[in-house]
Amino acid sequence: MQDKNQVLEKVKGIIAEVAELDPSSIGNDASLPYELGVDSLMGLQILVELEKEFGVELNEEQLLLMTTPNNIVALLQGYEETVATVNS
Amino acid sequence: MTCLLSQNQIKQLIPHRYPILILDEILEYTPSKRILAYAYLGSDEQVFRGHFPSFPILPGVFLVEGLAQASSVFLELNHQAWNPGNELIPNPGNGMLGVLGSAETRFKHPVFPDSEVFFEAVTTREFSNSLFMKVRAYYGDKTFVSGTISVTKVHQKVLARNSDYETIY
Repeated sequence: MQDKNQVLEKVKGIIAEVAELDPSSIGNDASLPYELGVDSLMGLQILVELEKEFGVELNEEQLLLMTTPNNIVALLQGYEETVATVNS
Repeated sequence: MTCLLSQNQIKQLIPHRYPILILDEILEYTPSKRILAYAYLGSDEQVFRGHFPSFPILPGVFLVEGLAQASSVFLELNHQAWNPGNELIPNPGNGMLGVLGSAETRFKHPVFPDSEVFFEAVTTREFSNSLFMKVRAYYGDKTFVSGTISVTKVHQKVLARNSDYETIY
Protein backbone atom coordinates (compact mmCIF):
# COMPACT_ATOMS: atom_id res chain seq x y z
CA MET A 1 0.00 0.00 0.00
CA GLN A 2 1.24 3.41 -0.85
CA ASP A 3 1.78 5.92 1.91
CA LYS A 4 -1.53 7.42 2.96
CA ASN A 5 -0.39 10.95 2.18
CA GLN A 6 0.71 9.91 -1.30
CA VAL A 7 -2.68 8.31 -1.90
CA LEU A 8 -4.41 11.40 -0.57
CA GLU A 9 -2.45 13.65 -2.93
CA LYS A 10 -3.25 11.40 -5.89
CA VAL A 11 -6.93 11.37 -4.95
CA LYS A 12 -6.97 15.14 -4.70
CA GLY A 13 -5.19 15.34 -8.05
CA ILE A 14 -7.92 13.23 -9.66
CA ILE A 15 -10.68 15.30 -8.06
CA ALA A 16 -8.94 18.47 -9.17
CA GLU A 17 -8.65 17.29 -12.75
CA VAL A 18 -12.28 16.22 -13.02
CA ALA A 19 -13.69 19.22 -11.16
CA GLU A 20 -11.20 21.62 -12.77
CA LEU A 21 -9.84 22.87 -9.47
CA ASP A 22 -6.42 23.69 -8.09
CA PRO A 23 -5.36 20.59 -6.10
CA SER A 24 -3.89 22.80 -3.38
CA SER A 25 -7.31 24.35 -2.82
CA ILE A 26 -8.88 21.00 -1.91
CA GLY A 27 -9.08 20.28 1.79
CA ASN A 28 -8.77 16.74 3.07
CA ASP A 29 -12.31 16.86 4.41
CA ALA A 30 -13.84 19.05 1.75
CA SER A 31 -17.29 17.86 0.69
CA LEU A 32 -17.22 16.79 -2.94
CA PRO A 33 -20.82 17.73 -3.69
CA TYR A 34 -21.24 20.76 -1.49
CA GLU A 35 -17.82 22.40 -1.46
CA LEU A 36 -16.14 21.19 -4.63
CA GLY A 37 -19.14 21.21 -6.96
CA VAL A 38 -18.87 17.55 -7.91
CA ASP A 39 -22.10 16.32 -9.50
CA SER A 40 -23.10 12.70 -10.05
CA LEU A 41 -21.47 12.28 -13.45
CA MET A 42 -18.28 13.92 -12.23
CA GLY A 43 -18.42 11.51 -9.29
CA LEU A 44 -18.55 8.59 -11.70
CA GLN A 45 -15.64 10.06 -13.65
CA ILE A 46 -13.66 10.29 -10.42
CA LEU A 47 -14.60 6.68 -9.66
CA VAL A 48 -13.37 5.52 -13.08
CA GLU A 49 -10.11 7.47 -12.70
CA LEU A 50 -9.57 5.97 -9.23
CA GLU A 51 -10.03 2.50 -10.70
CA LYS A 52 -7.38 3.24 -13.34
CA GLU A 53 -4.93 4.86 -10.95
CA PHE A 54 -5.17 2.32 -8.13
CA GLY A 55 -6.18 -0.84 -10.00
CA VAL A 56 -9.33 -1.29 -7.93
CA GLU A 57 -12.94 -2.11 -8.76
CA LEU A 58 -15.52 0.24 -7.33
CA ASN A 59 -19.29 0.38 -7.72
CA GLU A 60 -22.05 2.94 -7.55
CA GLU A 61 -22.90 2.12 -3.94
CA GLN A 62 -19.34 3.00 -2.97
CA LEU A 63 -19.73 6.30 -4.78
CA LEU A 64 -22.11 7.29 -2.01
CA LEU A 65 -19.21 6.92 0.45
CA MET A 66 -16.88 9.06 -1.63
CA THR A 67 -17.91 12.31 -0.03
CA THR A 68 -14.48 13.73 0.88
CA PRO A 69 -10.85 13.04 -0.12
CA ASN A 70 -10.26 11.40 3.28
CA ASN A 71 -13.31 9.18 2.81
CA ILE A 72 -12.01 8.10 -0.58
CA VAL A 73 -8.63 7.18 0.90
CA ALA A 74 -10.36 5.15 3.61
CA LEU A 75 -12.42 3.42 0.93
CA LEU A 76 -9.29 2.56 -1.06
CA GLN A 77 -7.49 1.28 2.03
CA GLY A 78 -10.54 -0.79 2.95
CA TYR A 79 -10.57 -2.25 -0.56
CA GLU A 80 -6.91 -3.23 -0.32
CA GLU A 81 -7.39 -4.84 3.08
CA THR A 82 -10.40 -6.79 1.77
CA VAL A 83 -8.43 -8.04 -1.24
CA ALA A 84 -5.51 -9.02 1.01
CA THR A 85 -7.86 -10.97 3.31
CA VAL A 86 -9.50 -12.79 0.39
CA ASN A 87 -6.11 -13.71 -1.07
CA SER A 88 -4.55 -14.84 2.22
CA MET B 1 -26.37 -3.77 -43.09
CA THR B 2 -30.04 -3.94 -42.25
CA CYS B 3 -32.02 -1.39 -40.31
CA LEU B 4 -32.75 -2.53 -36.77
CA LEU B 5 -34.62 0.60 -35.74
CA SER B 6 -36.05 3.33 -37.96
CA GLN B 7 -36.04 7.03 -37.10
CA ASN B 8 -39.66 6.74 -35.96
CA GLN B 9 -38.60 4.05 -33.51
CA ILE B 10 -35.60 6.14 -32.41
CA LYS B 11 -38.10 8.91 -31.62
CA GLN B 12 -39.85 6.54 -29.24
CA LEU B 13 -36.64 6.20 -27.26
CA ILE B 14 -35.14 9.69 -27.14
CA PRO B 15 -36.89 13.07 -27.08
CA HIS B 16 -34.75 14.73 -29.74
CA ARG B 17 -36.62 16.12 -32.74
CA TYR B 18 -35.95 18.20 -35.83
CA PRO B 19 -33.68 20.05 -36.31
CA ILE B 20 -31.34 18.38 -33.81
CA LEU B 21 -32.33 14.74 -34.26
CA ILE B 22 -29.41 13.48 -36.30
CA LEU B 23 -29.79 9.70 -36.44
CA ASP B 24 -31.78 8.06 -39.23
CA GLU B 25 -31.38 4.42 -38.27
CA ILE B 26 -29.88 2.01 -35.76
CA LEU B 27 -28.03 -0.68 -37.67
CA GLU B 28 -26.42 -2.84 -35.02
CA TYR B 29 -26.91 -3.32 -31.29
CA THR B 30 -25.18 -5.64 -28.87
CA PRO B 31 -26.70 -5.26 -25.38
CA SER B 32 -24.41 -3.41 -22.96
CA LYS B 33 -21.54 -3.53 -25.45
CA ARG B 34 -21.99 -1.66 -28.72
CA ILE B 35 -24.32 0.31 -30.96
CA LEU B 36 -23.98 1.43 -34.56
CA ALA B 37 -26.19 4.17 -35.95
CA TYR B 38 -26.46 5.80 -39.36
CA ALA B 39 -27.32 9.23 -40.71
CA TYR B 40 -27.46 10.80 -44.12
CA LEU B 41 -26.66 14.49 -44.00
CA GLY B 42 -28.15 16.05 -47.09
CA SER B 43 -27.25 19.41 -48.56
CA ASP B 44 -30.69 20.68 -47.47
CA GLU B 45 -29.80 20.39 -43.75
CA GLN B 46 -30.35 23.85 -42.27
CA VAL B 47 -27.03 23.85 -40.49
CA PHE B 48 -25.12 23.91 -43.77
CA ARG B 49 -26.77 27.20 -44.70
CA GLY B 50 -24.92 29.00 -41.94
CA HIS B 51 -21.83 26.86 -41.42
CA PHE B 52 -20.50 28.16 -43.72
CA PRO B 53 -22.41 29.94 -46.51
CA SER B 54 -19.48 29.84 -48.88
CA PHE B 55 -18.07 26.49 -47.75
CA PRO B 56 -20.61 24.22 -46.08
CA ILE B 57 -19.24 21.71 -43.58
CA LEU B 58 -20.94 20.06 -40.62
CA PRO B 59 -20.00 21.60 -37.25
CA GLY B 60 -18.01 19.10 -35.21
CA VAL B 61 -20.44 19.43 -32.32
CA PHE B 62 -23.13 17.86 -34.52
CA LEU B 63 -20.98 14.76 -34.87
CA VAL B 64 -20.51 14.62 -31.10
CA GLU B 65 -24.26 15.14 -30.69
CA GLY B 66 -24.91 12.24 -33.07
CA LEU B 67 -22.63 10.05 -30.98
CA ALA B 68 -24.41 11.18 -27.81
CA GLN B 69 -27.79 10.37 -29.39
CA ALA B 70 -26.58 6.90 -30.38
CA SER B 71 -25.34 6.41 -26.81
CA SER B 72 -28.65 7.63 -25.37
CA VAL B 73 -30.57 5.17 -27.56
CA PHE B 74 -28.14 2.50 -26.37
CA LEU B 75 -28.74 3.40 -22.72
CA GLU B 76 -32.50 3.20 -23.24
CA LEU B 77 -32.31 -0.14 -25.06
CA ASN B 78 -30.11 -1.53 -22.28
CA HIS B 79 -32.66 -0.39 -19.67
CA GLN B 80 -35.40 -2.15 -21.61
CA ALA B 81 -33.28 -5.30 -21.95
CA TRP B 82 -34.27 -5.01 -25.62
CA ASN B 83 -33.22 -7.51 -28.21
CA PRO B 84 -33.72 -7.29 -31.98
CA GLY B 85 -37.24 -8.39 -32.80
CA ASN B 86 -38.64 -7.36 -29.42
CA GLU B 87 -41.32 -4.70 -29.06
CA LEU B 88 -40.01 -1.31 -27.97
CA ILE B 89 -41.34 0.28 -24.84
CA PRO B 90 -41.80 3.93 -25.78
CA ASN B 91 -39.99 6.26 -23.42
CA PRO B 92 -42.85 7.24 -21.14
CA GLY B 93 -41.89 10.89 -21.17
CA ASN B 94 -41.39 10.94 -17.43
CA GLY B 95 -39.00 13.82 -17.66
CA MET B 96 -35.84 11.72 -17.86
CA LEU B 97 -33.44 12.92 -20.53
CA GLY B 98 -30.31 11.28 -21.90
CA VAL B 99 -27.69 14.00 -22.04
CA LEU B 100 -24.04 14.31 -22.84
CA GLY B 101 -21.93 14.55 -19.71
CA SER B 102 -18.43 14.85 -21.09
CA ALA B 103 -16.58 14.53 -24.37
CA GLU B 104 -12.94 14.19 -25.26
CA THR B 105 -12.80 14.03 -29.00
CA ARG B 106 -10.47 14.62 -31.88
CA PHE B 107 -11.77 15.84 -35.22
CA LYS B 108 -9.97 14.31 -38.15
CA HIS B 109 -11.93 14.97 -41.34
CA PRO B 110 -14.72 17.40 -42.23
CA VAL B 111 -18.20 16.19 -43.16
CA PHE B 112 -19.51 17.83 -46.31
CA PRO B 113 -23.15 18.02 -47.47
CA ASP B 114 -24.64 14.81 -48.86
CA SER B 115 -22.50 12.58 -46.67
CA GLU B 116 -23.28 9.30 -45.00
CA VAL B 117 -22.02 8.94 -41.45
CA PHE B 118 -21.86 5.90 -39.18
CA PHE B 119 -21.90 6.54 -35.45
CA GLU B 120 -20.32 3.79 -33.36
CA ALA B 121 -20.24 3.67 -29.56
CA VAL B 122 -18.62 0.93 -27.50
CA THR B 123 -19.07 0.69 -23.74
CA THR B 124 -16.00 1.13 -21.60
CA ARG B 125 -17.89 1.40 -18.27
CA GLU B 126 -21.57 1.00 -17.53
CA PHE B 127 -23.46 2.32 -14.53
CA SER B 128 -27.19 2.20 -13.85
CA ASN B 129 -27.92 5.58 -15.41
CA SER B 130 -24.63 6.53 -17.03
CA LEU B 131 -22.34 5.17 -19.68
CA PHE B 132 -18.73 5.84 -20.59
CA MET B 133 -18.24 5.12 -24.26
CA LYS B 134 -15.44 4.92 -26.78
CA VAL B 135 -16.89 6.54 -29.87
CA ARG B 136 -16.21 7.08 -33.54
CA ALA B 137 -18.06 8.72 -36.42
CA TYR B 138 -16.86 7.48 -39.77
CA TYR B 139 -17.61 6.42 -43.29
CA GLY B 140 -15.58 3.67 -44.92
CA ASP B 141 -12.00 4.05 -43.81
CA LYS B 142 -12.41 7.76 -43.11
CA THR B 143 -12.84 8.70 -39.45
CA PHE B 144 -14.48 12.08 -38.94
CA VAL B 145 -14.18 12.16 -35.17
CA SER B 146 -13.12 9.73 -32.45
CA GLY B 147 -12.74 9.84 -28.72
CA THR B 148 -14.61 9.16 -25.52
CA ILE B 149 -17.89 10.50 -24.19
CA SER B 150 -20.13 9.94 -21.22
CA VAL B 151 -23.90 10.13 -21.28
CA THR B 152 -26.29 10.07 -18.39
CA LYS B 153 -30.00 9.99 -17.78
CA VAL B 154 -31.12 12.81 -15.58
CA HIS B 155 -34.47 14.33 -14.80
CA GLN B 156 -35.18 17.62 -16.49
CA LYS B 157 -35.93 19.17 -13.10
CA VAL B 158 -32.36 18.40 -12.08
CA LEU B 159 -31.05 20.09 -15.20
CA ALA B 160 -33.26 23.07 -14.48
CA ARG B 161 -31.68 23.35 -11.04
CA ASN B 162 -28.25 22.92 -12.63
CA SER B 163 -27.36 20.64 -9.76
CA ASP B 164 -27.86 16.99 -9.06
CA TYR B 165 -26.33 16.75 -5.61
CA GLU B 166 -29.58 15.51 -4.17
CA THR B 167 -29.82 12.65 -6.62
CA ILE B 168 -26.57 11.13 -5.53
CA TYR B 169 -25.34 12.25 -2.14
